[in-house]
Amino acid sequence: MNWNEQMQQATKAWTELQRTWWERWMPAAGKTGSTGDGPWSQWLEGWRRQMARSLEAWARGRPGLPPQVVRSLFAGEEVFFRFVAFVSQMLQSLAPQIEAGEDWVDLLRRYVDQIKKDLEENPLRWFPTAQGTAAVAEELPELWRLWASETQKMMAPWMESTREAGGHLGEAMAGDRRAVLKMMNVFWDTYESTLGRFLAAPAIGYTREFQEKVTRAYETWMDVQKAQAEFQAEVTNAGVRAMETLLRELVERAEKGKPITSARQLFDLWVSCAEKAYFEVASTESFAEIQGRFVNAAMHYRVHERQVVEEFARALHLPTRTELDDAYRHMHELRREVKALRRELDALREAQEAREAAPKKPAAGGRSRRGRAKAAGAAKTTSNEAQTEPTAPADAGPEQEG
Amino acid sequence: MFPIQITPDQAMREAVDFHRKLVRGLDSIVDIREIDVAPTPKEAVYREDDVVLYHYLPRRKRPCKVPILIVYALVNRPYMVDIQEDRSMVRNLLDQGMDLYLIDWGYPDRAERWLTLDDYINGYIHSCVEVIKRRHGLDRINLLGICQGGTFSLCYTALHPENIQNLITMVTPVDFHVKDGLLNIWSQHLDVDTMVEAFGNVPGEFMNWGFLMLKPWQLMVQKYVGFVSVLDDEENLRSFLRMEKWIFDSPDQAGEAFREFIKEFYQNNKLIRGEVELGGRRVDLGNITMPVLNIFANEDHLVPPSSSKALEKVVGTQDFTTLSFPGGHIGIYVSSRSQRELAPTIARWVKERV
Repeated sequence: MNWNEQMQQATKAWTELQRTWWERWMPAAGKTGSTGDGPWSQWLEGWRRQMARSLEAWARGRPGLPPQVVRSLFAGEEVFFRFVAFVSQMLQSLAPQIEAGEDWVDLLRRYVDQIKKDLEENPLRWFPTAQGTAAVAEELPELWRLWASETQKMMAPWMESTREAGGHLGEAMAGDRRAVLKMMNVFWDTYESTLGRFLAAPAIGYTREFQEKVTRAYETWMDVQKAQAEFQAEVTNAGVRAMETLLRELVERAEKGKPITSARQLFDLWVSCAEKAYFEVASTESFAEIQGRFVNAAMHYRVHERQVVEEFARALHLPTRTELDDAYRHMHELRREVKALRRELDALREAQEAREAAPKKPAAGGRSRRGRAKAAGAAKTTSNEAQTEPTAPADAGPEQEG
Repeated sequence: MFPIQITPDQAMREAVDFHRKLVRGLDSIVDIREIDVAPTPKEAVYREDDVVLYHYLPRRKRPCKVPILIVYALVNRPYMVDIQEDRSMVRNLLDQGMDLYLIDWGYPDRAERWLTLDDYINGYIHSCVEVIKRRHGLDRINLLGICQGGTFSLCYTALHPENIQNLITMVTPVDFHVKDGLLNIWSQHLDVDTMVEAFGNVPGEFMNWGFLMLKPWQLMVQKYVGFVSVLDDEENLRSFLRMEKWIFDSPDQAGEAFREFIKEFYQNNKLIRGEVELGGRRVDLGNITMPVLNIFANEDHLVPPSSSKALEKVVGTQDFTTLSFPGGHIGIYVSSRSQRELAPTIARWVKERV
């Protein structure tokens, strides 16, 4: 067989292999272009449901197994399976067109573009925790209720009133000024019916302070939601870039004749692309600013949330976090002072011992003025050095470990 | 050529195999029950508040006459240097004839919220150094600082140079404004005052979130997918679980010390400028005139090599040695290569200088 014949045969064999390969994807393809309900998706959903049901019971029967280990492992598996499902759907979707002779690079790029568009338009579909800023603005009453339900876990009696107030807040946001008053009244009524029953009725000024704290806490919580949406959008941006990087890598591999031959291999390549793309985004000043805004907003919320909680705690005769922190600060200052005094005492004791241990001076003749000054200087130096000495070791005794 | 050559049945088979391995492997985890770490014997020789100074039992009859005090970071627990018998920098150094002490910072609770860097550096570290000096009848000892503990060691040595014979810094941040580290970039936008007001002590979980976000795909997804392949190998499984334990065994950070460290070091980069003040005294790295060995990991994503390398230009010593080690921030303690090479290199350097 000459070289030409060999080449023809090899080409034929390769083409045949490719055709067979695509045919194996074709029967499962269903509607072309669909990213929806392939057999993988159905299988994945079934698996998820089964896992959710059995995970807790399974781990409960194994006391030596930390639940977070199981969760992490199954979460890893889920991401892996989701990825495999995604790739499978992509291949099913593209198979007929590639089989019909269309350029796969172009097809893949169009497919990725479609996903990018979808990512931008429907981030929830890809990132279940994402919430668009627009959605935040539209759902104020619901968010209020959500915030309230989170906060009120600690203070169940306030739950109902807060729900009601949520409705009034929605009205207030819509421009009805009377709603603010209604909302305040709801709180006031609840306060009266719970804590207020045990306390003398507070002055108006007190109520105003309390209301301001509640309102401020809610505002800061809203800030968190907005900042989180902004942050999530940046992470999504990294996801979009990852898809572009993956496409580039795949084209390179095709050119080098090094195809991906297993789902795990493809998964690892995707992770590597995602990490690379994420690093590019995460190392920008703009990402750092957005992330900073998100974290800072969350911290502001925690501070204001505490102020509201402390109002309740005070009313219930409970010590507050602020009071405890203050007490700890005093304790800490005292501890520092005690340590410093102990060091000083140790230094004095050491100096005294050194003086006592020193050889006795000649009885006659006395010391010159210069000699006395020198001795005093030496004693002073010893004292200063000793001040930096630590507390004498509280010998803990041998304690074998490991 | 289409670059993905996977068939549906092949993908399904892979998924099923994966799941089967995972479920079978989980029973291996259950069998392990306890995750043992820090196997090298040691004794507590000094306690102050929640801080404990340990002395490792020497493994040579006549260990090096000048002991080494290891100062670890406040972030995470110090048993990374002794995670398991065959991956232990501590054990390797003991085998090389070193005499080792280690400070365990403990788990700061809310009452420790007001601890400052002055308390840590001029307080606890200084106390431990003095205890060791007294135990050995020495004027000076060797100090080995790791990561943030390295930064603390630099501060301590600059303030008390008369107590330190040789200084070793490992994966230590010095220039906090180099641009190739995400932590350096991200920390610029943190409102740390509000954070400390909100948290009191900054929770270990929050710190972990930050560290995981440095490489989210590798650390939160790929690692667990890869884990499935070691589930049937008990030793590898144990190693994995020890590392998991260490990663998530994160003490809270004392609020005031955290505030100072972020503001003074990360945000204002005062260490390298000689503007840090502790206990009313300025930290001048020029005071570090004793021999210095500076070790960094050349793929460190937490402390970029450029941040560590900056040390050479700011210390006052004429005896400065740099050691670049392959691997990442953690690999430097646990990699096979580090088991072979790191401890002998450190021990040789120390022995030449005592």
